[in-house]
Order: sequence, then C-alpha cells, then structure tokens
Amino acid sequence: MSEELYSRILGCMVGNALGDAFGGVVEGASAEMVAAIAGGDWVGEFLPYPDDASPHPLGIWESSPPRGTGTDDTRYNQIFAECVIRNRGAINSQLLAMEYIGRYRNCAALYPKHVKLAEEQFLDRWYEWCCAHLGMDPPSGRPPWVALSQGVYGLPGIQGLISLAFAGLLYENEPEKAYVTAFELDFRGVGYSRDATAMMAAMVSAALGGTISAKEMVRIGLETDPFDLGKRKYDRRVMSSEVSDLLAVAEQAGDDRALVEALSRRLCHRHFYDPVDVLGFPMVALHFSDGDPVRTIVMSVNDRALDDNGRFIALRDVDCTGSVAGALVGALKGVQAFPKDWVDDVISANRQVYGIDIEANARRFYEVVYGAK
Amino acid sequence: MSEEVYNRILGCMVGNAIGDAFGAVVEFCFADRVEKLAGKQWVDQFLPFPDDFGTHPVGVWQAAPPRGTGTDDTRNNHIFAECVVRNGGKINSQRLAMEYVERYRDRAVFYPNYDELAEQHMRHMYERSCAYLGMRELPSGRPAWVVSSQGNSFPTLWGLISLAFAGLLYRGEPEKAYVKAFELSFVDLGYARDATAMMAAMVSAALGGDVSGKEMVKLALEIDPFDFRRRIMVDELRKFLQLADEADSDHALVDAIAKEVTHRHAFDPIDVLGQPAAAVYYCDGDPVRSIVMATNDRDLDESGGLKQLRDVDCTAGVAGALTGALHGAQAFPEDWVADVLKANQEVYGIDIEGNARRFYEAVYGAS
Repeated sequence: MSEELYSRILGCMVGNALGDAFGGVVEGASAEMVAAIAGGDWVGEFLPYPDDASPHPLGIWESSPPRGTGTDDTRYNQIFAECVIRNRGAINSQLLAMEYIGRYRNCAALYPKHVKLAEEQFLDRWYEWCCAHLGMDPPSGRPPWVALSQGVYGLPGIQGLISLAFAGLLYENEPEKAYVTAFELDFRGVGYSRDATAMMAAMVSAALGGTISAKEMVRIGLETDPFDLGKRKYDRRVMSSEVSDLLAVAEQAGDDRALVEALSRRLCHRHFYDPVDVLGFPMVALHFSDGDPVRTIVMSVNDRALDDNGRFIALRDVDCTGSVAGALVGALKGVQAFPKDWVDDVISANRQVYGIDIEANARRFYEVVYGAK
Repeated sequence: MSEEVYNRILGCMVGNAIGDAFGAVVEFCFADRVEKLAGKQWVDQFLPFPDDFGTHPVGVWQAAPPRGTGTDDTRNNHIFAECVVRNGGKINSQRLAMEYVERYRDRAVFYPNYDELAEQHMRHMYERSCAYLGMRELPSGRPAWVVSSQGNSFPTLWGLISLAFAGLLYRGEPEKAYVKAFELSFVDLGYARDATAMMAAMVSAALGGDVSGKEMVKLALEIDPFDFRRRIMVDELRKFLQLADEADSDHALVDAIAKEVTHRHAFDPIDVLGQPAAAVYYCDGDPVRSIVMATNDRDLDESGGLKQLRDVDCTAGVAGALTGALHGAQAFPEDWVADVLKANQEVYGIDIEGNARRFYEAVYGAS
C-alpha cells in the first residue's frame, strides 16, 4: 500500500466530513444566530452543535449530536464510497442508481436508528431519479423523462457536488478520466451542474497524484474539458467563466475576510444550491490560501448572504461549501494536514451516529481501486 | 372555419413577430443608444431599423431591413408552425428534431439568400437534434448523452422563442398544452421547460376565449399536470405579480421588475416569461402596452436610471404572442400588422398569414 496515496484518499474523505460538520453547525444561520453560536460574525472555530440542534432528513439525524457529525453530504458521499467498494472498484451511473434504490428499499436494515429520516432523505427525489434513470416508471407517476429533465427544483443543483466528491479518487492523477466518469455518474444533474461535479473530480484526481500546488489544482479544474464544452460558440462554459471571474475578484482581496465579503457580494444573488457558489467559493478560497486546509474550510464556511447595503444577513449553504473545501484540501494535503482532534472527532462522531466507518471505507476504497497496483 | 379561432391564431403569430421586431431594434442597447433611436429612454414607438443595423446569425439576416423584420424568435417559431403544417397537425419532439436536422442540412433550399447565417444559426440546434434522435456520431464528436444533458448549460429561453405557438394546438385545454409543450421543449432543461409549458397553457386558454389578461396569467400559476412540489417559475412569477399589484404606472412596474431581474442572465426564463406575463397581467392584456412594457425590460444604473435594455426582442415577442392569442390580430395597429407581414415575407419568405391559415386547417380543419 502506498501510504501517501492512502493518506490523500483518507484526507479527502475526512476533509469532506470535517467541512460538512464544521458548516453543519451554522448552515443557513441568521447573523444573530451566528453571533450567539460563534460569538461574532465570523465562524473561525470547529464548534460543537448547540443544545437545540435538531434532526432533519437532509441534516443531522440526531438532536445535538457530537461535534464532527456530518449531514447529508457525508452520508451521500459515503454511499458512493461504499458502492465503489461493493462493486470492487467498478462503478457507473446505473450501479449507483441501483445502490440508492437498495438503500431506500432497505432503510430499516441499513439505518435502524433513523428509519423515518432515511426514508425521507431518499424519497425526496433521489429514489425517483434512480428509477427514471434505470428506465422504471417513477413512484410519483411522472414520466421518467420529466423526472430526469428537472434536477432539483428545475435548477442546475449540487447533487453531484455533495454526493460524488470522491469520484476523482478513482483515478490517480488522471483528471480527464476523472472528469468523464464523474460527468457520467452525475445522472441527476442538469446543465452546468454536471460540469461542476466533473471539475471537482478532475481536481481531486490531480491532487491525488501529488506534486501539484493548490493553484495548479484550481487551474486544472478550469482547464480540463474533454467534451470541449468551452468551445461552443454561443453557449459559454458557465462554470469555468464564472469561477475565473471569481478568481479575478480574489486578486483584489487583502485578507480572508475581505475575500469572503467580495465573493459573497458576487454570489449572494444566486440560489444557494447553485454550483457556481458551492464549488466556486471553495475553489477560490483554496487558491487564495494556496491550499491551507483550515483557512480554506473556514473561508468556505463563512460564505454569506448580504443585504443591499452589504450587511451580513445569514450564512448560506455552508455545510456544502465546507465539505467541498475539505475534500479538495484533504486530497491535496492528506489527512495529517488537519488538526488531530478535529479528525478524531469526525471519525468518532460519524461512526457513533450513523455507523459510517470513514477510515475503513478509505482503506477498502484504496484496496478495491488501487490494490492490484 | 371559425373566424374567431383563426383570428386568435393569426393574432398570436402576428403579435409574436411584432414584439420581436419592436424589441429587436433596441435589444441590449445602452441608454445613449436608446436615447438616440427612440428620442428618450423609454421605447414606445414601433421604430424602423437604423441604417447602421448589422446582421447576426441569431438577429436579423439583412442589414437595416424594413420595419417589422423579425429575428431568430420569428424564424424559430415559424419553423415550429411549418413543422406542424408539414405533419398534418401531428407534432412531437422527435418530429421537431427531424425538422431542425432537415433545415440545417437543406439550408441552401430553405434559406437560399442566407446560407452562412443559417449555418451559424442552426448549427447548435442540429447537434442537439441529432443527439435527441439517438444518432451516435455528432458533428462535435461529443457523446450524445453529454450533449443532451447540457441543453444550453442552464435554464434558458429556447422554448419560449421557438415554441410560442405550442399552445395553439389545444384550444381551451391548458393542461394538454402544458404537457405537449413540456415534451416539445427537448433542448431545454430544468425550469426552462416549465416556463415554455406555462406559456403554452396561457396561449391555449386565450385561444379558448372568455378569459381576461389577468385570468390568463393567473391560470399559468395553477396548471401543474406533473404535480411538481415546488416550481421556481411559479414562485418568481408570483413575486412579479405582487409588484404589478403594487405598481402605479407602466414605468413603475418596469423599474420594479428591473430590480428583480438585473442579477439574472438575460436569457433566464424568469425574466423572459416573467416580465411580459407581469406586464400583460398589469394592463389586463392591452396589446400595445404589454409589448411596450416588455420592450423596456432593463438593467438600471446605480441611480435607478436606464443602464441597458435586456433581451427585449424575446420579452416583447412573448408579450405579443400572449396578447395576440388573447385578442386576435385586429388588436394591433393596422400599419404594424401590415409591416410585419410584408417584411418577414420579403426578407425571409415567411408567410405568416399563410402559416396561420394552414396551421388552423391542419389542427382544427376536421373539427
């Protein structure tokens, strides 16, 4: 086993869960709530969940769980990892759709402590998409082509970014292959959301190969384009052009807070499930801090909504931005880049609450994908 | 032939072309250009194209063409109308995709004066149509599933500028019109298909008669045959109608909506359908006021003045189609109608009256 490669795989998985839990405490929180929880308008610490944190199908599944407990981002991404393991390293969008249908059908066995929450998590579109993708009539009665044309709420959304963060781990330093596989796997995404998912996979793959800086990793994300989407004359490639604009904003920023303010001004009019925000924000934070793991996650978790006068109103979907940031820097730097107590809490909490064994999943993932090398 | 139904069909087609040509003269113009062309920062006259007006694949295909000449909106919508006619009133997304493949392939026949412009205009639709029909080898070399998944990368206005007449297939049957337009809108993704289908539902209801402008727009909020639990288009259109309820003049409504859409892409269906729908609602279907308000869809500068008009041939094209279906062709000034019929015949060979009559015969002839 290559210890370095394993550390990057584990780093990606742990970083993803860490960013998710870091942001999960304050996602969508109003300025007043942030002040009460974090003691100001900036979340700079890995906070425990407050006593009144309550379960939600897409959030945490236990009230006031231990620090480090993830939300749907961690659960979805680990489903992907376990699906890759179950299929011995072979994966495609049909096998993944089968995995989700199996999860929904076997909620009681797979999620014995959280059956109702699990049902609601999967019933909320995922089961429908998977049936449609496999050619079945969806349970809603909608024609399959209707279900597949819509994504979430009819938007290019973040399903891929929060469930396929590890797709790039399938290919060590083969960003084009990672891009194509992730694009195919993101069968629930519409429009540029599939490009976003695939860009993230390309970056993770490049990071996994080692020897690149954070800035190079971001550049690879922008430039990997195996389908020549950037060459269409009248349809610009939304993700790369928007993220390039955000990087230009970063060049004017004096410090992390100034960058967050400037990015938020540019992004706060977008839907909080917009991949331009959920991938673009962490990419720019990663670039600005040159891959500093903690600063990248902290900036991403402070992605915020501002009012017309530039005043802080609320944090955005920051468990997602945090989890994307964590996966990117974890793949780049390996698990040892994060504070040890953060890593310990994340591994312990997700095992305790969900039965997700992140370390074991990372090891088995390594073995099924790279074991023969 | 029911003269009333025919008149609404013709009204929808003529209104669409009027709105398109009305807005095309000033689409995306900055304030100083608008002032120069219109004499003020509010466009309320049906202006001729200025002498320096150039051609563009998705714009006019003749430099400084006669007043009333349409752009891609008029051309695309008449491709649809002619496809319906060619198929004897039967239409689905595959037949429409075939039509686009044939138009591209045989552009020298269809568009003898504009081979190069037609090639550039239709190249992308050709690829999407090939992918949709399941062809394995596409001109770009991209896999078909990649092309089909991308549409225009984000929810845009293709259906709104190409399927404005889909609702004419079903007189007074908005649910059926919604489902058909949703299916026909194969290039669109996400809420763009909902927008196209909502427009078809409105046109269908208008064609049935007995609805006001306000009722027609409200109906679009309620039609939901696929039982979507949450619809961005409906949420956003409700906001615009709220602004309309609060506005005290046409200018005030345009400014209020401008603040809502300024951060959106100019091709966003929330703007391109939402703005004209709110205008139609506000003036209860007045054809000229609806088109004028839609043509003045704008981005504002920091002091609240006009910075730039948006994609106003499209917003006005939508407004014209909706009000034309509601009131019929005679609702528009006679000289506007005459100019639009003549210009599109002369420049593109599009016979709007002939298409309206043949469309009626193909769809309603046996009833």
